Amino acid sequence: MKTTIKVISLTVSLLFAQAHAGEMVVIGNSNVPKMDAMTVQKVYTGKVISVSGINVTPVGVKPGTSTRNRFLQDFLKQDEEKYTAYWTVRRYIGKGAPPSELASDADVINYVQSTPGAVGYIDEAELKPGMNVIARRHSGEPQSALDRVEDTIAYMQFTPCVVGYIDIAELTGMNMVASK
Amino acid sequence: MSSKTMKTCLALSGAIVACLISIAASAVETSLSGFGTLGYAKSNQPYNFERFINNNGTVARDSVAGVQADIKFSDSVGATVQGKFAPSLKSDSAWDATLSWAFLSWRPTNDSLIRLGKQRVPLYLYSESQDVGVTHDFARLPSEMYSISPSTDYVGASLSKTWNPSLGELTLDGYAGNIATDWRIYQRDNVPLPPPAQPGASFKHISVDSGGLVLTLLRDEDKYRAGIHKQTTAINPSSPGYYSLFSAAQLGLGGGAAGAAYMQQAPVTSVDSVVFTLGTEIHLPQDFRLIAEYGRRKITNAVTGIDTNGGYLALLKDIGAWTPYASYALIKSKSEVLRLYQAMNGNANGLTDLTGGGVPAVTAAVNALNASQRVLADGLLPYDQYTIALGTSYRLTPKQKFKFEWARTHIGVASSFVDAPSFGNVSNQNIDVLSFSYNFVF
Repeated sequence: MKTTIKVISLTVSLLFAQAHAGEMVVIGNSNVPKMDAMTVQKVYTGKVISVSGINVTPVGVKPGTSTRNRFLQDFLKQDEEKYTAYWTVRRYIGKGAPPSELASDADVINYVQSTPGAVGYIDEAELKPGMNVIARRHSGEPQSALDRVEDTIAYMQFTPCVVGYIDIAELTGMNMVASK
Repeated sequence: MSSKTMKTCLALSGAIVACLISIAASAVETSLSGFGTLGYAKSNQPYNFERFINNNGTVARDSVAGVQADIKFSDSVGATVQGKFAPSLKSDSAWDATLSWAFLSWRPTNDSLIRLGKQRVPLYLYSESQDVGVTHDFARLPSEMYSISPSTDYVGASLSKTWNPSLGELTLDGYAGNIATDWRIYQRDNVPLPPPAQPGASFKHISVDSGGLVLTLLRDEDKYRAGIHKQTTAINPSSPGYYSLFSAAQLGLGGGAAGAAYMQQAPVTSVDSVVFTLGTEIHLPQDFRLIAEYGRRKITNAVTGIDTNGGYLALLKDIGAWTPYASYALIKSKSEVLRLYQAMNGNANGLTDLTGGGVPAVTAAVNALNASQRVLADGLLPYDQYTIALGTSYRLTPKQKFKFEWARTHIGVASSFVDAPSFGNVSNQNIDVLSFSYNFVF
């Protein structure tokens, strides 16, 4: 079994201490599998309707709310204007309507918990026991799982405060903080 | 527009909206939306340009209103219905409520989409959403590019498949279908010729069978598109396909006339064309964007001015809510067709009556043939123009845009976008157009 080394940057630990505040989480109905941030982005832009064989139905809150603004920024790297413009074009080229907009985080939670395949986003502070957290994200987190070891190494070398894991065989002049 | 016509149109619009609401009420999940443009355009010329624009000003050229229902039967099966109220394609004095789209869609996988019904061809970069002014920044999408196909709508089937290589998001669209529509013809001269000659605007019923493939690459925010489309346009009644110059003797006028006249050699009941399209939208540094499109419409079985090269190049800059732009657009028929047009157009006195009116049949034939030369020239549908435009859009909200544009169109030999005056010519002239519009979606 290959030995896996987890490389941890010292400053990341400081970030974790601060990052807990304002973390966005994506919750799903009990039948929805975990997703990475890229998949969440594709779900909310209509490019993915099925994850691991489960049809997903995304919902959100109305424009102008801080929850929505933070979600758009953290997961889609967009503001409301760009997101609205994107869905306006997509709707009027006949490729569907944007995710339904509910009145509040509580409505999102109720809908997600009662609707198979439903996916929604809330502030971590709204989490309750038993909710299925399928993705979470805070500022500085990589946008998606990287496909290749070379991409992971390159990302860590050029991006401050990043955590990643690689095989010991790939280690070359890097800041190894922990191993197992 | 008469009040009776307006009432009819409003009633039809109401029926479409009621139908959409009825569907919405019984469907699993329905999203209703709408769009509109209130546009005003005025030129510096007394004759009509692009059907409606003259020095009196008009709202008809750019104004439109529409409603759309996106119906979700399940996560993978849905339907889209769009109704539109706009100037009629069958009359210059009427507005029609029509069904733009009505199709079923099925996504068997994340990366594939099948659609059946009335839908729009992804012919140009903005063709699918061209009625929705909010979706682009141009006051008016360049006619030099957006008029290449007689219709961007069809009733048929389409299949879309997407891949995600490292290059970006690659989508291949294939479609096939048919559309029955009307093609506007404008005859300048009011001359006593039998049908199908008809002075002014007339609308020829056509049926277009079309099919094609379009490849689109989305790379970050940049878009690249290439397409090839095959169209067969059935025309009723037939149209001239080929022309020849006949001497007076060949025309059976014997010694009673001299000179020569053009006549159609062989009518065609269908026109076959292949359309190639290229388009790109590229984001440049400093918030500049470059948009360019090119279209080649190649006619394979007739001599006609709609055998064209056309396209445009535009440079835009995003400055907050403002997006100023400059563009250059061009459309040109094949050189030999433009030469034929000039020859026909200049042959209004090609035949000379040598009988001095003494043989009425010869005189009538000479007069009719001479009068027919410019009519034949109009029927060639020539295009030779370029447009320089300076404009800007202002984004009031994500769902509302104001647009303003000044454009100068230079007509070269002639242009079928121009309703030239009777017994006149619009050649080597400039048409300046000022346009304003308010565009919204809800």
